[in-house]
Amino acid sequence: MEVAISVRNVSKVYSNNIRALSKVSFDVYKSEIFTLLGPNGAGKTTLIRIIIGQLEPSEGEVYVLGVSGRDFLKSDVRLKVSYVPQENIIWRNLTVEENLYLIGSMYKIPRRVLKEKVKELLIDFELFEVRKRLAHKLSGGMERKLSIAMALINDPEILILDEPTAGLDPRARASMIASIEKLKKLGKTILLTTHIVEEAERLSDRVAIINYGKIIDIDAPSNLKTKTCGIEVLELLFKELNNEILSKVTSTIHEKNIARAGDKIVIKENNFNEVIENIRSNEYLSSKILALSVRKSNLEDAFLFLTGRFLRGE
Amino acid sequence: MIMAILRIMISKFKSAIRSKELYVYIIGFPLIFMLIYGSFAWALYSEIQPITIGYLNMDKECSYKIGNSTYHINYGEDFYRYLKELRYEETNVNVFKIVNVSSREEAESRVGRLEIAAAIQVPIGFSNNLTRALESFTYYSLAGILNSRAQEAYENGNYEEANKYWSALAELSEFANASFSIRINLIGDPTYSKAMQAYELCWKYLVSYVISKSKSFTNLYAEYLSKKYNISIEFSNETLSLSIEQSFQVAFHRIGGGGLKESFTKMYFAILVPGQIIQSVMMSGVSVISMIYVEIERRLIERIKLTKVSSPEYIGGVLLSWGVVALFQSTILLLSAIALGYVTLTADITYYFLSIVVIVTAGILTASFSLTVASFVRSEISNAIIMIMLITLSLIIAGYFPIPNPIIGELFGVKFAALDIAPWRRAIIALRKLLMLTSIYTPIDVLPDLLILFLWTIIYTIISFITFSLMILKKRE
Repeated sequence: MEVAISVRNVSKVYSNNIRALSKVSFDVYKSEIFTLLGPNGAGKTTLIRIIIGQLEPSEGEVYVLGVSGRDFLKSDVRLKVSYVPQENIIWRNLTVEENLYLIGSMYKIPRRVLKEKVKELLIDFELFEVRKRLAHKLSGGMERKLSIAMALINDPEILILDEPTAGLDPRARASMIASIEKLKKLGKTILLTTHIVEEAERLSDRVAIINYGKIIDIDAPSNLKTKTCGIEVLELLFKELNNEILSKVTSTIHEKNIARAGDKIVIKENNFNEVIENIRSNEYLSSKILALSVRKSNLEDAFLFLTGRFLRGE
Repeated sequence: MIMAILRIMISKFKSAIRSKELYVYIIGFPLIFMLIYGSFAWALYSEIQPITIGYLNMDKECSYKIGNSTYHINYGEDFYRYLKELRYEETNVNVFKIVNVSSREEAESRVGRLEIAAAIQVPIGFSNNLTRALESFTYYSLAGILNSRAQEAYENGNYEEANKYWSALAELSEFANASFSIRINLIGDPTYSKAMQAYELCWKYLVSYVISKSKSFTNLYAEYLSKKYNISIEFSNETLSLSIEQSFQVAFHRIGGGGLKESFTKMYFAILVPGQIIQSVMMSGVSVISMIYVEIERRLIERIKLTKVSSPEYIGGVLLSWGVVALFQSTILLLSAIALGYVTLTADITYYFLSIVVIVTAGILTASFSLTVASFVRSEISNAIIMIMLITLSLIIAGYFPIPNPIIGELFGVKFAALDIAPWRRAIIALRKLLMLTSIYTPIDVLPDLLILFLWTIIYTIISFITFSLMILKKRE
């Protein structure tokens, strides 16, 4: 498969000595959706800013369509890449249409072609009705759509989306996911960052789990789940999880099969019926438990077992 | 490239004028101040009454010779008669009611008792200095004409005629290196509005007095040379151009002790209105900084770096858009000032055209300055920093208070002063000449100010281009 983005041993230490990335390496192939999954502060945005040439890595190198990160901004390859950061890239005092025309004119797209392209994007992203509205008067979801529509004005080969659904309500989030799926069908290479597992699972061809600036694992979402925690897990939620509860629940289970996140215990690869029976027969545990379920494993569980952290920081 | 700059400029301008912040900072405040100042001063200016001033003439008579004729003159006395005869336009009301005073102490005492608004003190060497000035003005008015007539005659083979003009020029040359400073003192209390009104009028009438004397002297001397050398000298008095700021001084002397506390806001509009317009243009720097930081913080700049827009296109678009914003805001303020009767309208459109050039340049200058600051300061306090810098600067340069401004150099006959490093000052001076003092200054008189304004704006623009490109647009963190 052809490589679109190649990240080789990239580390980044900021001037205040905070290490944001440590020896990160991976490839993003053409026409795939590659997701960086990690909690806030894991180094995802830093990595993206290095890829688009805004940040200099402390060591290592990045190549985008074969061009080194050092030369990225000087090279025409930059014109094949679009980037949508967490903050919506829009001019808030311009209308929806004016925003699209402005960014299009920055790519020096001929007026006639630009007119067609703007119309197409307005329709595709369901913004046609609000095209004369000032951007700051749009809802969060619409602002996000406009931001992504602007990123597509130059018909980029690679689209980099940093937390594309951050701050959106469920309806807007669903609509955004649908838009990204449409882009996938168009054969775009998409590098996505998120801390939302449902999004990563649904959209990604491959997921890189990133934690404290390190890549922990890279694989297809289904592989990541099964190889890390099996097909099913047992989830126990307590009122207030303390060491006594923990020792009573886990006394018979190997510690590598247990992960704790807040007041929650997740157990993998075990005889779940036996564990459930054990809890039910114990009066103390029964009084403390709020919920108990055997469910299919997800990327959240994979992240938890790989890092010992809960993705959403709960 | 031009299209890209224009599109960025139009978008930025649209963005700016849709920002409520812009209206509050750069139109709201100045307009409110203008109205407040105006309401204070309206009564003052609408009443046409003579201003009572004291006159202390310490001048000594001097004499000068033109050919065989010797003239004796005391310009201090002559200036007294000139002031006494002045009338408000289209009325029979005298501008001044003049009271003779015999000493500085008496002048201060009378000012202190509100008997007089201020006192003019004519210094000892006034006549002598003015004579040197008139000689110098005459030299600059006639030398060029004589030289060109001589050249013309020479080229036509009329050597005798050419010699006559050259001889006249040689005689005129004794006036070439005259050094002078035309100065009068005005004693008053600067917090007293009528004193400031008297100050403004003294400037105005001293300039017009010297211009009228200069014209008479030049005519007299031209007539003398014509007769002596049998030549014809045709020149127009209208072309007489004086570098007024460098040649004149009305020194304001504050009386000791004070005690008169009328509002300082009752200042004269010739100072106030142009100062306010340029101050408001300078305050747009706050909006420039805000918009740039929004673009940096919201990663718009990072996004722009991925497009085909080059640094010159982006910076050019930003600077031009703020030139247009300056024009937009100034138009509103100027129309308000005209509606309030602060600005005297003139039929000559050149004055307005040059005013627009000055204001747009001041807008570009402000945006350049702000971009330079934005290149180095990246934090929430940037707005406060630029506001403090620009407010302080604007007060220093607006000319509301006397501030030392030594000459630091000269280029092609144009003198550069220390405060030129804040070139908005030249914009204010130019606007005063173009909008407020149209009866005294011609558009040509504004050219040196424009030249200095342009030069400094180019320097500031180059600095902003280099710093913003290197620190923001091309820097990898």
